[in-house]
Formats: sequence, structure tokens, C-alpha cells
Amino acid sequence: MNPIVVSNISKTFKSKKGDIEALRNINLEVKPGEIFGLLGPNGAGKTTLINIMLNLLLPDEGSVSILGEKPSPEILNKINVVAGGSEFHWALTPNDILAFYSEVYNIPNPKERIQELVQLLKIEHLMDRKFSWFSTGERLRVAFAKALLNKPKLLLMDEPTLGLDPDVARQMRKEIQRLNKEEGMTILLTSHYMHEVEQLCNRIAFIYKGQIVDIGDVKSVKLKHFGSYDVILHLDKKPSASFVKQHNLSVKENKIRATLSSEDALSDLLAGIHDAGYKIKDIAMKKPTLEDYFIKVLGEQ
Amino acid sequence: MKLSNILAVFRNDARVIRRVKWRLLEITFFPVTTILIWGMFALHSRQYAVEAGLIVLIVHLFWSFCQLAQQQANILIMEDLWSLSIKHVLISGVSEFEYMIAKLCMSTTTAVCIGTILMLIASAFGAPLLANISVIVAMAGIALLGSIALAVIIAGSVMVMGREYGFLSWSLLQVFIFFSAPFFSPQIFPPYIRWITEFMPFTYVFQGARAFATGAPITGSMLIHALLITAIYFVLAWPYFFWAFRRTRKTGMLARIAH
Repeated sequence: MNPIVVSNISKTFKSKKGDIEALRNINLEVKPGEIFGLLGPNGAGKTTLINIMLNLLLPDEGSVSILGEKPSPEILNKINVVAGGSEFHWALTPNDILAFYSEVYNIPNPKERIQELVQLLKIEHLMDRKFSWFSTGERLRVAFAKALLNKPKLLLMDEPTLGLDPDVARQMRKEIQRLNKEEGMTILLTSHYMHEVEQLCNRIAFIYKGQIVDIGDVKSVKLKHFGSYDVILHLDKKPSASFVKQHNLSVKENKIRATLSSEDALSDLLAGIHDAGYKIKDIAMKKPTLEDYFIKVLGEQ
Repeated sequence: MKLSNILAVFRNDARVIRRVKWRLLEITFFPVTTILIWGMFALHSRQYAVEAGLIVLIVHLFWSFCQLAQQQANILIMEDLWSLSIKHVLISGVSEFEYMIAKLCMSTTTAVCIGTILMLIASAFGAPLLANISVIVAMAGIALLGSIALAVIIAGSVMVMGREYGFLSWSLLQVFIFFSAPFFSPQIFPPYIRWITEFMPFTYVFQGARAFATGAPITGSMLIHALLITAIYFVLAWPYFFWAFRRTRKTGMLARIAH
């Protein structure tokens, strides 16, 4: 059973100033134990889709299944959510917040579980301070602690590292990877930080103007749009003209640039350099990043 | 419906009240000072019109009680909306019904505790309440039911229309109080308005309050009539509340209000 199954979801917001089509015929499945990324520019429909999964919004058409069932309070009690800019009541302390959600999630031995999370997320020093005093990073740590309370099988993360400094964001990413690997948690992630998605996600879906324009594993969707990548090699001497012609290279002094379309082509080139008796002094690969992909797809659309 | 969810939300609201400095004072200040002011007026008016002073005092007692029961529930909801914490609650498995019931439990507890203090203060100013405690409790129960029904209607309305309509939490009760003819007989209204008072949740509660002051009888049929009208409000409030939540889920207002 796939933890998330989205079938033919469409949603249009009616307005006097004109209807806004937020989602059109969205289909996707998130497999158990994967980290799935939802990409797209602002207003593409990512948060709308997550709101439908969380039963905060009803679709006009189609259905969503979470852990095999329609979103309902019972199902929502088994999953959890972290969103960037998470808010709790300003007057409450993390002690209060976690005590409340321990009751809601019916956590056995809540004190022990809270203590575990407090240590994991290093929030001991925050526990008796009011939420309104916290920085963005501290707020996120509390939200993360709340999200892990019930050891959810499925975690929805909507821009979780929004506004965090690079160090805290890196710690969060490490924690997300650990949860996925060690605890088998399935994670749905939306983020504007492409390197984050590239680092974390097994598969992605790119949403643009309410439609999925690409879906698949990160490598294949990039390959689909770029098809090739560049390798720049710094050799110990200038290569011969016949060698350059044979491998279809461009040359500048001792540097050669090859445009490759597969990993086999790289092996062939390296073998050729070795056979021709050249030594490699430096190597650089210019593979398209997810950011390149994001910009290219937006341009294509 | 999970009782544990209701208790969790109730306890959380108790934590909020405990954590906010002066919160208890804020809740008690206006009702207590109101009763003190009108109690002094009742003492002063003894030399002119004993009954008029007592009418104002006892009606104010019920008015404050209704206000506490309705406003506390709606203010707690508004706080969750302002702090955006409502989203976390509603996506954690607490249903909107459990959430609303918890808020109503908290407002009822507040209203009953402070209402008791107000009643003791009003009695000290000469209001003949303790001698008729069973009727007072019955009337308070009816007033509570009506106030709760209004709190449910207001909560649904704010959800449908948006946070900026939170002012209904403070103002809508006033309209119902006005048309319930608090200090005066419904006969004072022009005939084309008079019929409205028949359908107001507090008309008979205030009529009973005035009867206390003047020594007029409070009949069982009057209480039953009052109970029936507030029960209709209560019964109709819930389908409206559920319709409101369904509508907010359809229009996207719930997602927007929670972000």
C-alpha cells in the first residue's frame, strides 16, 4: 500500500474577480520509505495539494488516499506535518505544546518520548520559555519535535527549512535523512531550495500552474531535459589532433572539454586518455543541477 | 467523538489562561466591576425606586453571565486563529466538533465560576437571589444554553467569512441582548419589532430577572417556553457549524485562515 495516492485531483478557487485553477487532474503516488519532492514555482499548487491531503481543503474532483484511507481526523492522528513558519500559541512553552500534542496523539509514556525528542533536537534550554520569544530556527525545532512525537509513518514537510540559517538547515536535512533511513519514514517534501531536494529526494514531481509537468527520479527527470553533461579534464600535455577528433573534444591548451550523454561514455574517454599515455592533472564535471532543471522547465513552460 | 481530544484541548486552554499574566483578571475585571457599579446604583436608587435598581442589577448579572459563556469560547478560538495554532490542532486528529466542545466546556466553566461570584456580589447588594436559588440555576442553565448556541453560530460565521469578522465575537451578542428586551418590557418596542422578541434566546431570561426584582411570579410554563426557544437555537447552531466548516474546506478559507 502506497502511503499517498492522489487520483485525478482538480481544484478551482471561485472568485468574483475570476476563477483560479489551482490544480488540474493531478495524479501521483508516493511509495513506502521514499522521500518524495514536490517542486514548482510560487503559486504552482504544491501547498494546495498538501492542504487537500490534510483535509483542510476539499477537491472539486478526484480523491486522495493517505495510508490507504480518505483523510480524516483518525488518519491525521497517525501522520504528522512540519511547515516552515510553524506557529503555536505565543504564550505556551514547548513543555506545554508537547504535553498537549502528547495527549492528542495518545503517546504512551509521554515524558520519556518528550525527553527523547528534546535531546535529539537540542531544545532543553527552550522548554520553559514562551513560544513568542523564539527565533525562526528555534520555532522549527519545536515544530519538528511536535511532528516526531507520534513516530509518524508519513511526514509531510512544507518548506521545512524556510528562513533557516545554513547550519540549522543542514542539521535538519541530516535529521530528515536519518528518519528516512533508520526509521523508514515516508516523507513528502516541498522546498524552494533545489540543492535540498536534490540531496534528499528519491523522486520528484514538478508542478506548474496546477499540473504535473514531470515526475520521476531526480536523475531521469534531469536527463530528460538535458540529455548530456560536460567533463573538463586538465591533461599533462596538449592532446594530439587525432585524439581530439576521435573523441569529439574541444581543446584549450592542455584542457579538454567533452560533452557526454552517458556514464559509459565517460569510461570510454578515461580509457582512451590512459591508452594514449596522457596523465590527468585535474578533472571537473559540469552536471546539470536541479536548479538548472527548474529554470529550464520554467522556461519551457 | 473522542473524549480524550476534548480534554486535551480543554487542558491546553487552561494552560494558556495560566501562562498569560493578568488573564484571569482580564476575564473577571469587567463583569465584577459591572456588578459592583450597578450594585451601588441599586443601593442609591432605594430612595427613589427600589425595584428599578434591582432590575438593572439582576439583568446585568444575567447579561454578564451570557457574555462570559459566549465570548470566552469565541475569544479562545480567535486566539487560535490569530496565533495560527488552529492549523496544528485541526491536522492532528482533533475534529472540529471536539475542538468546539472543548472551547464550550472552558467557557462554561469560566461562566459558572465567575457567575457564582457575581451572584454573591449581587446578593450582597440586596438582590433576592439566594432565596430562589433553584429558579436562578434553571434560568442560568437556559441562558447558558442560548449563549453556547450563539458561540457555535459565531464560530461558524467567523470560519466562513474570515478572521476579520472576529469582531462578531464581541458584538453579535449585543444585538440579541437588545432584541431580548433586557431592562424593559417587550411592549416598549414598536409592534412591528415586538414579534422578534418572541424568538430571542434571552427574552424570557430577562423577563424572569425583572420578575425577581419586582417580586412577580416566575411560572414553570415561562421557563419551559424559554428552554424551548434556546433549545431550538442550540439544535440549529450545530448543523450551521458543520455546514460552515464544510464550506470553508470547499472555498479554501480554512486553509487560508490557518496559515
